[in-house]
Amino acid sequence: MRVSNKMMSRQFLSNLNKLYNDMAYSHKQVSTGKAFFKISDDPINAVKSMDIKSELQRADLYESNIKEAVTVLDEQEVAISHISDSLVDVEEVLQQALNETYNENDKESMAKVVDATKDNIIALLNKDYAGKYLFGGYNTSSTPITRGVDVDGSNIYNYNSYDIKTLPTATDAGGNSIEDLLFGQTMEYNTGKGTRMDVSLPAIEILGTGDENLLKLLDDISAKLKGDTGVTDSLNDQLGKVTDFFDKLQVTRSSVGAKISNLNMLEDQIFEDKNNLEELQSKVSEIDIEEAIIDYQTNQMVYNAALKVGANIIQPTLVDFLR
Amino acid sequence: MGFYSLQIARTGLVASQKALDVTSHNIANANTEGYTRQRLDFSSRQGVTANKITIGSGVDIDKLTQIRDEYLDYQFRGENSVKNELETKSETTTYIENIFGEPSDHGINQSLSDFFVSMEELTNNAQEATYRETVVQNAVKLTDSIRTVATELTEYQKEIDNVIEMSVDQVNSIIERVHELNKTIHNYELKGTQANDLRDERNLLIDELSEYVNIEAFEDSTGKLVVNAAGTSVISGTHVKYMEVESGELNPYTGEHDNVIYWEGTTSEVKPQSGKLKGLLDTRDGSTQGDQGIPYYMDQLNILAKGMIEEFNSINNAGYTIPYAGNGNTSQTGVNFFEPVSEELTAALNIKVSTELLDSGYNIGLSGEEISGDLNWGNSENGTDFLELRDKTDLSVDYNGTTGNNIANLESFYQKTISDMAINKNYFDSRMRSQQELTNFIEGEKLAVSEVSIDEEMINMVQYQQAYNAAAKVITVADQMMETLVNMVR
Repeated sequence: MRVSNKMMSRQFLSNLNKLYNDMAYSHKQVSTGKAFFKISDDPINAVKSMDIKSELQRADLYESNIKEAVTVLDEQEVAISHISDSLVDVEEVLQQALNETYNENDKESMAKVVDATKDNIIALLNKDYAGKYLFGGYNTSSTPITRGVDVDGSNIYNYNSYDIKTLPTATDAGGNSIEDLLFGQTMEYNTGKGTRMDVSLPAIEILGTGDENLLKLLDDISAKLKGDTGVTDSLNDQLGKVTDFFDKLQVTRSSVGAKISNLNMLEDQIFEDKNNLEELQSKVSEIDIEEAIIDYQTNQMVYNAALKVGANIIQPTLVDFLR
Repeated sequence: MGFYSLQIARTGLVASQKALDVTSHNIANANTEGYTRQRLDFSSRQGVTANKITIGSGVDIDKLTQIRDEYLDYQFRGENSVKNELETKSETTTYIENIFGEPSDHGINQSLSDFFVSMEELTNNAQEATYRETVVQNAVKLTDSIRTVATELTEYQKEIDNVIEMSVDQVNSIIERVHELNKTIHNYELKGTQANDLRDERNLLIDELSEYVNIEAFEDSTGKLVVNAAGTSVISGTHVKYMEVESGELNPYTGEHDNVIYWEGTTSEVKPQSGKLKGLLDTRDGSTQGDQGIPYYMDQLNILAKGMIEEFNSINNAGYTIPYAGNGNTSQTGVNFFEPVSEELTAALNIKVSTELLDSGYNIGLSGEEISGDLNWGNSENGTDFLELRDKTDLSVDYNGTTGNNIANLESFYQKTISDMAINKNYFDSRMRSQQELTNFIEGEKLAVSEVSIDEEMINMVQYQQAYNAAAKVITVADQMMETLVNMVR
């Protein structure tokens, strides 16, 4: 084949350009540590890495959700254990009042213990975590338990503005049960794709509703101790009811504990998932640095060789050798 | 016979001189684009017979020929058209990829992800105004990024439409110049001479024309070039046909009329099979997955935008807002998340967060029941529907007459769109590279025949110089012989 001067220089130039491009790309890889820069560099891995990135973001989110849920449950457990302790105090007071003879003054101070216990329970149920009330169901922005005084002088306790005394204990005439109405107020955290954990604990689940609620019971005990004859239950009956509340509370407490251990397990799982995702991400989107440097050096060597050979071929023509 | 030798040597001198002129012309044009090397053709002159011996009477200069292979020209032009079409498509798809700009921390994909994450954080803290505003801000960021991509795509579509018009002007100017050259060459050659350098110019123009559109070109018996472009005869003898650009149908995305190319004075559309024009037209008009142009990507973005608007609005409509001064202190349903769009073909260009949400994040309908006063702000019963939206696999959107386009979910639909785009780009890139190699090979073959080699011209130069010197020597010898003869007569 006939070869002209321009053909030589053109071919030399186009090869040099190709090599220079290769070198620029591997240089970019080495200096950034990334395996690709645009989707089209590696469509499958680039889209995969986008997917992994959002999965990782979500795993972070679930992790923080779980941490928050555990904190809420821990707070609830603390509150429940304080309430249990208070109920034990009330039981002791009642046992003393039943077994021994105490004078009016003693009974008066016993009543004060019961009143203080009640105030303590209300304070515990009005607890918030980072500005969010824990025992109010959907009502997370204002105190769930508020007090008032009825026309007859007796105390009114409202749960989210409903008078606890008048709340139904079973299904009402309209077919709404208290469970649907207030217990259904969930506080859910996403703990994974499509899995949620309800950490709500409405105060009325602990207090009970209707005439038989815990606050009314404590008020009655206090009144009985103060010698109010209007209270029909005997101290003994009242002691029995306090024990019932105590037992119920232990069931709630163990269910909270179960939720916490469940969440801890999930947290371990997510931590592991995150590690796997991070490993996968680096496999998919980052270069093997040794390989990239060797690639770069190979490209550079070929480039240098091309320059050297090119310089030898392009320069001389027959003109240089004619006298 | 001294006189005869002088005559013969004279033809040799002239021939060598002319040949040196041609060599010098070749060397002078060694770097001229499109220049075809020339050779002077010689033949020996029939002589006179004396004493039964016929001695030739020197050398004749026959003609100046161009060394060129027409078949390679034909092949080169065909492949060059395809090469330019693919180069154009590779260039436009690269541009489109840059418009999408993925993977990035600011692209649509990341914005969607950020939006869903902030939504999730909000459902855990439905009562908090700051979480609500974060969701609104992320929704604004998301709609901004969709609108930006859509707007840039339509801008690019308009730009391509302008380039089409400019390319048609260029094609017409080439046709005109070739037509003029046809006439000039014809007139020149009527006098029996060869217009080699004008032919080079004409061939170069035809090569240039093949960049824009598929062509066929051959010389007729009178030396005029007959040119067919896009399957239609454009130059033939004195007949010449130009292209013209007319404003066609309204482009629904840009809101402007697209250019349509017709053959001048007719209603028949120019339909190039390859070349830059074909590449540009395909990018401007391609609307299917197999033929991905700007309309295809616009449709995908519109489906994404429409899906977002419909799904988010239907969920937000069902939920109750938090009462505040802006909504008359009443908890409401039926509030839109995104501003509804009436025209689905411009959904991505117009998607916006609703004015209610921009006014306050309290208008995000998270609550499953009416909220009165300060109570139950933490209700996010309805908010979980937003979260479920993220992992749905059966979202479907009605678009442009097709009902029930299954798009799985928003994120995977978008990811599929950009991976389609990238694969499409790589397809054109790799086809372009192999076509470039093929075209370069043919061009190499072509140039191997017709390009000037300095070494070769040097050798020729030495050869002609020697021949000239030798012919001059013959004259000297003949002169001496004459002198000897004259001196004899005293």
